[in-house]
Amino acid sequence: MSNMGYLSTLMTAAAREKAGPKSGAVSMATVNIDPLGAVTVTADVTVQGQSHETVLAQIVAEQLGLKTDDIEVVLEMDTAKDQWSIAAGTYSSRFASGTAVAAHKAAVQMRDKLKAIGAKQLNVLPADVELAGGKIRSRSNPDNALPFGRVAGTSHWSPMLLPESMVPALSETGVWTPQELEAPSSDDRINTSLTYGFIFDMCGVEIDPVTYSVRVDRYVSMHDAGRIMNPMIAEGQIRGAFAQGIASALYEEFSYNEEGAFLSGTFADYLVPTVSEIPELEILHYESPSPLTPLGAKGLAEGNCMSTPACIANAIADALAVREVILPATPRRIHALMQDHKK
Amino acid sequence: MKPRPFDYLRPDTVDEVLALLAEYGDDARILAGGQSLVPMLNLRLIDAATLIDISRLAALDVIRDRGDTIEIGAAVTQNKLMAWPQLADKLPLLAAALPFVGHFQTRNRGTVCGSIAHADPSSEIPLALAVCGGEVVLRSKRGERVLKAGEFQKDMLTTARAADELIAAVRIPVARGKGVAFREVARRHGDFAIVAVAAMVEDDGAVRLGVGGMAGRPMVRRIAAANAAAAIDEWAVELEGYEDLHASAALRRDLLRNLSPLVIEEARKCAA
Repeated sequence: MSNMGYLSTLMTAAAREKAGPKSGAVSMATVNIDPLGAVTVTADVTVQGQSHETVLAQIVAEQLGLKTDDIEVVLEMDTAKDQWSIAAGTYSSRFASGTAVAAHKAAVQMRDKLKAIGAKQLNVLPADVELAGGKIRSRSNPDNALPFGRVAGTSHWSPMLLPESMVPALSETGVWTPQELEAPSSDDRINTSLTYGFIFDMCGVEIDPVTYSVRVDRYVSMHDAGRIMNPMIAEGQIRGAFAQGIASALYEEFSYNEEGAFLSGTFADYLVPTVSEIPELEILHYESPSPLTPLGAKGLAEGNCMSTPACIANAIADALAVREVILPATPRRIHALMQDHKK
Repeated sequence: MKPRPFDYLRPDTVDEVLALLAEYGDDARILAGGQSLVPMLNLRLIDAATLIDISRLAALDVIRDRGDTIEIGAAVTQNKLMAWPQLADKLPLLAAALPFVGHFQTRNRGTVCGSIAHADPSSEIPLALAVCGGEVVLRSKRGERVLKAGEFQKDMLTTARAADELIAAVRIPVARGKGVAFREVARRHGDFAIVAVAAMVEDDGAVRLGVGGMAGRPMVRRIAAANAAAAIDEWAVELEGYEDLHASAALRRDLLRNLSPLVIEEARKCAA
């Protein structure tokens, strides 16, 4: 979750002083429940395939005692009518440490509200109420229970039955803004992110002296992304980023000739690796939850896009005993490096 | 991208194809599998006012065993030839080379004769045809002529086909029991080869060695068993190679030097 204050380091300290300090970041998510008990979630992210819908549904379902499938997540964001802030969007791995936390807060608020409504109808204290298995029930006497949808409907149809002084609407917006993201100091220093994921890659490569191609024999990638919210999505993100890393390390390149003409303008020349070109990846996790976010997650998506090219370049440099390897390490470049090496 | 507009004709007989070729000449292109032609039209690297589709002509979709040679008709797809039960026995070099041609999906439509007609300098089938000493059967309203592979492919994407001629078939000598081998270096499997090398052991122990990706067309040389390395090195220097996005000329020469001994050894083992 990036500190919006880093943008203001483009200005001098004096200019920042004048404009007022910029710091921090806000994440927002909203949980709505309709008269039949259908739950929808909206949030300040625009998803591009990161499975945010699944994770938001998991987080909210857990608090409301429902199944993940019961939660509908709607991530079309419209700044004219939805919750958002200047920090909204999907970037810098801010979903897991930002938006997910806001959704968790909204779900907890909604849970507590439903407990209070249910307590009155079940004739028990709110502390004795739990949401589980699609029911709102007494913890000490589980037979004393109401269906989730029935309690939800009360707020819509019978606001008079609500506990005194309760605001009726079943719409809760969670807002999360961490205190650790301070404005830049007078000497331009700033903590740019709330959480930092860690990644450690190791690989062994072979350079084929006949074909001048690079073969990755073994690749191990270890991640500390804090608490992992959904292992399958985490693995998918790592594998996707790894494929992109392999692409920049060995295949994809915008090539230009000396006159500046673009040479790799078709997919016959701009080589996107297919699944056959991606070596086996071994993934390890070291799960050290972040103390700075309520859910302990740090974010992990873009790691291997950055680490894999460097790791492969280092292995090639070691194999050929050269200092510098230009990526992508094509047969043409490997051949040239091996010619230099012979001299 | 999309191609410029063109007329599409699908004649029902080979005679009609020849009549259309005589009529349209250079303005027409034969469409068989379209695996090279259509992308080139889409990229507007070539222009054709008229496409003459021969892919459904049963008369051209035939693999014919003529005894000493196998004749492969113009509509025979690469996968059909790969699936021909006698391929490994009678045309072992083609059996070795075909898996490198594009991908399974492109081989479903791409034709053997289409590769020959397209005449890409790094293409596998023209290389195999050259090493095998195959022939190209050209037909037109004027008649039929048969050219040796070496006479047919002139240069990069350039052949001896006249504007009114149809490549009706290729004929490849049966090479039963001969030692053969094929290897290529490409960026990804199925990509255009940077360099491809094919070998066939001759009866006297020498090897017919062919290389694609070093010149405008596949080149073939007889390499004697003695002093093979020196002969290959000399050949690499002579051919020189060429420069493009994926390879320098020096890389191509070294690939020829590196691959040739391996391919020759493999071919000899396969003969033994």
